[in-house]
Amino acid sequence: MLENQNANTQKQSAYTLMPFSFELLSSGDYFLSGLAGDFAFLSKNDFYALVSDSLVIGSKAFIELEAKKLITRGKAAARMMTASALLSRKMFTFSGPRLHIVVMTRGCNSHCDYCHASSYSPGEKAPQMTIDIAKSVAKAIMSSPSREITVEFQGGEPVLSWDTVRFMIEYMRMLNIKAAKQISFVLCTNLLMLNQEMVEYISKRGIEVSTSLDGPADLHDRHRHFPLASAHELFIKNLQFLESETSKKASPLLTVTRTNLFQLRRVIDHYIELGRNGIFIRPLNLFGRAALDNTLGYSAEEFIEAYIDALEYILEINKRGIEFREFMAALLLRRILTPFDDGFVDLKFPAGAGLSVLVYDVNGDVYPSDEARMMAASGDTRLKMGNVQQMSLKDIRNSEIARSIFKSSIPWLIPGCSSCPYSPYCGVDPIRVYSETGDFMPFSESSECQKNRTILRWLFDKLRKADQNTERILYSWIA
Amino acid sequence: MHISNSSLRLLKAVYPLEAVRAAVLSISINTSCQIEADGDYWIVVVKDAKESIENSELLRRIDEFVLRKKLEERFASERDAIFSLAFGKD
Repeated sequence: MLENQNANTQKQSAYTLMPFSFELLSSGDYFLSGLAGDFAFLSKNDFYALVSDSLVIGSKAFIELEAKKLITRGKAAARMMTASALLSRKMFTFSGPRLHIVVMTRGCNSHCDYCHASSYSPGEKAPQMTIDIAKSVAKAIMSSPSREITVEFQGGEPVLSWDTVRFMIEYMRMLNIKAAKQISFVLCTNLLMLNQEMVEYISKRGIEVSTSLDGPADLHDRHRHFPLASAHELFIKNLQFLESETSKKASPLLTVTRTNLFQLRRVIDHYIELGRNGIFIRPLNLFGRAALDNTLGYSAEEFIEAYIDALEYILEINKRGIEFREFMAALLLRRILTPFDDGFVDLKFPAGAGLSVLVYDVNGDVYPSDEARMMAASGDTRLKMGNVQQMSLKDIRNSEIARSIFKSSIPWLIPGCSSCPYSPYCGVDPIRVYSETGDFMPFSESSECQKNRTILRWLFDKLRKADQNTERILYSWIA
Repeated sequence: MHISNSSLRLLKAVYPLEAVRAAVLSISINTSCQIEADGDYWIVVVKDAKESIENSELLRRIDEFVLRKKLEERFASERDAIFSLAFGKD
């Protein structure tokens, strides 16, 4: 077969192939994707006709591929359009850090078995951010070149430093009179200490609330321990209190442990009962306490099996008329079906760590991601980029750590990713790779790679085979 | 047919040695692959493959691997041109 192709490639071709990657699917067809994420499915015959420059001009396959800029009869224009589309997707590499995670305290009011951040338990004296450091952090954030800024207050439990949280928000609002950026604030809280004054302030300043919910009471309380009551019971009470007083809905995050891994359908039902319109099925982060307890984890294969089952279940629910989505799948669909960048920093090429997100610890130390900060909390501070009281944000962003992460997360330079047809929609987490191997450079066939590729294959398969109703549902997830 | 009991004859002019080796090893890192020259052909003998695989499937994988490499070479200059347009020369 290849001998014939060689013979054909010697002829003058009527069209030019634009760069693409491909994969043979189990159906026998081929999946192709271009540099900017345009994609197509081809039969084996069409695929081999394509690469041997003998695809019939005007055929259905030809028209589709030309429309998607995978082949062209006008190279300069196709090159320009592809470059423009690629730039649109990678615009975040030029805009500066947009997400700024501020660790207000290492202390927590509850004790979670899987705490990635190695937070101090209730009663322990924990480091907290001082007003002086909060000012330095606020000034650093405002010096970011990004016009859109999200400040996420984390812990531990940031509400334990509520006065400093309030101070920082007011201080940043004052600094922003001159800077005129678009700033949004997110409070990451377990809601267990919520009171009237907090709710009024959250409402007054339009603060988004991100929280945690691992399922019904038996699942939620299994690994989330609150000394005074059932964490689940108090969570529900305060969630209802918050939402009755404010116009916004809190966004709960699910942490998947071995306990709820194969009960995701129950978890989804619980989210729906609580009026949520979606769920983020987030795998366990093996940092902090989670890394020490080997009863919590599972294999990549187990996660993929449970995750795909959950997606199938969510599709069924939608077909029954309930609008509900899985946020990770929705994010990937958006990348597949639209030409735009998104704000999700955990799965990007180049990596978002240190480029689109910065994390400020209680003492002003800056890390490229939450995971790097978690490593630091466990005693490994090798990924520290600098300190806001000693360096400018510009110098911190130009640190050797940031450069190394950037260089090692360019997809076209990573073995495996460079030829993977799913890389336009995917990304890497070099900090996770670093924590496992001591090097930032990802490797193909890692469990992360396996997981991402399986999920993307599932989505493409659904899109390809979707009837009208399924297609409508999948598109509704990205609306 | 299990591949460990068979061998393939591949034209040297079509199948670069490195591509053949890489394609065979992609089946399993524990696979032992012996490649010998015989005139215009490579004789590929695979032993101890962990995965039961037929000759036709191995040939398909080698074909695909070689094609991928050829396309990468063919796309290299166009890809550089697109990157330069999108992100600048550096």
